[in-house]
Amino acid sequence: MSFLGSRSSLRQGQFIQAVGAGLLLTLLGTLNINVLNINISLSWLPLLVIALWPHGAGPVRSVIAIFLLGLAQDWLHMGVPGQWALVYMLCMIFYRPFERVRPLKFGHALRLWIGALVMAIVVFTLTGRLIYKDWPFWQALLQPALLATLAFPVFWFLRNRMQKWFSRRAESL
Amino acid sequence: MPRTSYSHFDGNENGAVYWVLLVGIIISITLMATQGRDARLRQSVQVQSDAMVSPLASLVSQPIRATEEFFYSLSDRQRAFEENKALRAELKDLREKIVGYDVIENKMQRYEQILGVKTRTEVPLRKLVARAVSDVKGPFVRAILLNVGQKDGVQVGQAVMTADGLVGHVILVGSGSSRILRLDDLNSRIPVMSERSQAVAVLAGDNTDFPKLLFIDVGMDWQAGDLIMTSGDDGRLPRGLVVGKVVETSAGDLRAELTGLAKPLDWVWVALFSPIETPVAVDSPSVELDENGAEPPATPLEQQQSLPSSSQVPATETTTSEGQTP
Repeated sequence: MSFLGSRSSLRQGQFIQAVGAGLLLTLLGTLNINVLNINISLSWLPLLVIALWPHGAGPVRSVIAIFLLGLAQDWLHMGVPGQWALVYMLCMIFYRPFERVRPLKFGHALRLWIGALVMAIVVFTLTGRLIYKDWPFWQALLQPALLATLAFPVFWFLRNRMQKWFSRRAESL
Repeated sequence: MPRTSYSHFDGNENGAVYWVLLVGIIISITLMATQGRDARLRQSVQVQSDAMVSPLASLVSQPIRATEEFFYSLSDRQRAFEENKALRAELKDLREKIVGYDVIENKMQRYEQILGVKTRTEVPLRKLVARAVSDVKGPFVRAILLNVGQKDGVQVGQAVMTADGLVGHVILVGSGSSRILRLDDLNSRIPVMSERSQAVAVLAGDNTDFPKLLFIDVGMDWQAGDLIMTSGDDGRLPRGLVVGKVVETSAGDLRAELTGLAKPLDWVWVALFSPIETPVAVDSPSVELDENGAEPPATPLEQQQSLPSSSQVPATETTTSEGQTP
């Protein structure tokens, strides 16, 4: 299996899968789960999709799709439009999936994730401070970010499994 | 950080991508700068996106709400025995009080008929049951999406409640969905009063679970444990809706423990209450005066029409959206 020489149908499939996962996690991110008086917010899970965005998904349309996912996140969370979209764009620059020449190793990917997460928290806090003239409620900001970090290995594993399954299927056709 | 998995930057190869990224960043910043909280475009897009997402979120949230309910019932069962004892004692007290209230109510009705005053309770009597399909509790915004809207009679400004107390008020209405600003949101400001002392204050959300009580005058009697109710001073929310209890922080600040938001939100109701209308200048009707310059007395028929009868008092009514039952 070659990393760069993927076929156009495979690339199209990767793009659709990534956008589908993004939409699903954006929708899930609007739900607040309250179990035993502990509030669990999934609002930072969509950022995982950008961290695991496929290399072969087509760079320009990927950027446009991620920008629109950011706007959807803003509207679904009733925030000011542009805040999440900006965070997503900056994360895309940080990750540059279109410049990847070989699959990331888990350790490298985790380091990149933590770097992108810190940048996203700083950007989100500062833009929020400018828009709302107040600092965020730190617990509501950091808890979902921590939850997304804990979910990162699970998503990494699932994504690798899916990638292998789709590649095998494409090669057998 | 070594980036062995990445190619060296080649401006020619990915130049277009970086341009698109730059345009995306510029659009994002422009949107943030121009589409503030009250921007019309933003509100209309928000209404459209809420209308699209509401049925989907309703579907996705059902298993989550069921799980929350399961855990909540588990913790409820643990303290059921002690609560049962306390409730029996409370019930005994309340039965005696209800008898007293019935006597007072009958007296009130008689006085109203004698005086010819038209009064009505300020607590809204018509309720529309709705499902909280999405409850956003973010670092800057705390809002709820309901599956009822304009076609069900919801209007901007109406109060949203649970059996335990006020949750927030409607800020955006679509045809089949509406957005609620929670009491603990940064932008929420409602006039409240102490049920014990009638002292007034403004309850200001600050994105924490315990909103602040602001504008408390020095002489006003607020104490920890006081029951907080809406004062209705803004003419938007009705007077007498339960909000929560006063708690005092270690720094000496007074804050509110919101009873309506203490449990996971699933079913809520919208109080179909019309706020006091803004007065509009009207031409005074011409009244024929008698020879002494006074208005003629009302005829017995007119007097009878101005008196409220028991049939005019609206009955408590609960409606559900799309025939749902809570």
